[in-house]
Amino acid sequence: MSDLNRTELAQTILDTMSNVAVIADCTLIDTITDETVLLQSGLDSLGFAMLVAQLEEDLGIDPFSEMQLAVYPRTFGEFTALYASALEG
Amino acid sequence: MLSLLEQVSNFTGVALVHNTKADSSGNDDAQAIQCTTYETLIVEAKALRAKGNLPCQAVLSFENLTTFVTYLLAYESVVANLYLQPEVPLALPNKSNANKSSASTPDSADKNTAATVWHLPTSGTTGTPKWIAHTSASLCRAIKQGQQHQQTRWALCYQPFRYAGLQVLLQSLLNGATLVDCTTADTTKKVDIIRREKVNAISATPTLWRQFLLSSAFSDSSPPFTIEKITLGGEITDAPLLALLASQFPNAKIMHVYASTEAGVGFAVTDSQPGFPKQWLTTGVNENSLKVDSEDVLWIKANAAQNTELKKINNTIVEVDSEGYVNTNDVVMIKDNRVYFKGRANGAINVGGQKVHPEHVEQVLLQSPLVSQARVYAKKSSIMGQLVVADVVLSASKDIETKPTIALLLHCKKHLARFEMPTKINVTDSIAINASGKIGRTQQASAE
Repeated sequence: MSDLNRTELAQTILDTMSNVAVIADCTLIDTITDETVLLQSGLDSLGFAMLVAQLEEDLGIDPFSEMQLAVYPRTFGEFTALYASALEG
Repeated sequence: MLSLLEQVSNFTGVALVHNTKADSSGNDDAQAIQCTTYETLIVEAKALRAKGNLPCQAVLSFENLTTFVTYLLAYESVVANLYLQPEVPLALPNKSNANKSSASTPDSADKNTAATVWHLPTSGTTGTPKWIAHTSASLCRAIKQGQQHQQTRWALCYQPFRYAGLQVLLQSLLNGATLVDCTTADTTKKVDIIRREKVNAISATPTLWRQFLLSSAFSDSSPPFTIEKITLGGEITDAPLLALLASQFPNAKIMHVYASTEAGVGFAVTDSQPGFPKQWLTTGVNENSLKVDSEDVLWIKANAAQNTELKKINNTIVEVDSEGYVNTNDVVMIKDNRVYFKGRANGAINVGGQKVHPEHVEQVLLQSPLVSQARVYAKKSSIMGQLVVADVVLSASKDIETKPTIALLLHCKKHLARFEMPTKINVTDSIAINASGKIGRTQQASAE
């Protein structure tokens, strides 16, 4: 996946996070970067589950159920990389 | 107690109306309508009995209403065990050679009288269907009798082998009233029969009532329908539907009935509000005592001796406590002196260890003027185990400015806990109902 596509993917995930935050009644922190720890982004575990469900709708994949994950992504960058890798198949 | 046959033996006039071409797509065909009088039913049921050698165990399937009722009258109080077989046959608890004919007689025995134990299938909305046993007394307990009911023309919208259907059937038969078969699948067809046969009393699930109202067949009719009695049951009834029915049928008496196949007893609520008055938990209602346990589950006691008897014949299926209360498995919520139903205890969606009752989420969605029908179910989540998903049919009359799903999510947010929120709302044209007239709640809703 090219850097540009990777940027677009990150933006898609960020947009989805904003939408989910409204539904899940969470408040996202102002700036989310690749280094942001997911559980410090403002989404809690329920919000995170909703995010994964929504991304499955938008992108057609749920890497958490489809991939044998050795470790769960800890940061936003790792989360995006996981989706990028799942999309590449 | 007199047998059913003895109780109907003095009635005259039309007992049953059924459409022999109900499944065909043709236009109304007067010849397709078959009317059966009480006289015919009584003669034929007696003839069956006179043949002798009636079984001690019988399986009755529903193929047409006249045959079903004839056998039912012949068998009740004669056969010891009467199984009312659903459309997808449920295995009998013991090994018998039951076949699929209208009435099979697996075990023959010379037996002239018996206290019949009725075996009814549960609908299996939230689990595997199972047989629940009843006595004739427990089934007839809620039937109101009186001459004023004789002119009633009931629409049978439930299948008669289900508890709710059997209640309509018994209510009709034990009053010498007329029962009109509306068990056919298509809503328009049902409304056609209701109009043509001048039905004046209808008992149906809230889901079916919503479909009736959606079809607009009732409001378009001229002359208007003369519905005098509206009964809702089998599912949770919500305030918007009660209000809609009241405005559409201003002259009808509207009640929602609470009963379950398992508990076999119930009560009716007639004050146009969902749920029931909290006071009934103290005073009881309709000779039933009610209580709510620490898990918010409703227990009901009609008659302790009768419940103990039911417990005996149902073994472990029906839970009866030491005081004779039956566990309804229905979870309730007490708010402002009212007890509201939230859903089935065993039908909850598990969101990260928190229980969500899909019926409760449906009630919240239905409170929105944007929604005419709703179905809520679980979606598997790799993170939380399960999440809540909703399918909705939007109200045709509403102009929706913003995205309806966003508006609905914001509506849900006001009334639901975070974990109860639907993570996705699918807008759909229709919601399938199962043969019991209820919404299937598994993700792949299948005909039951």
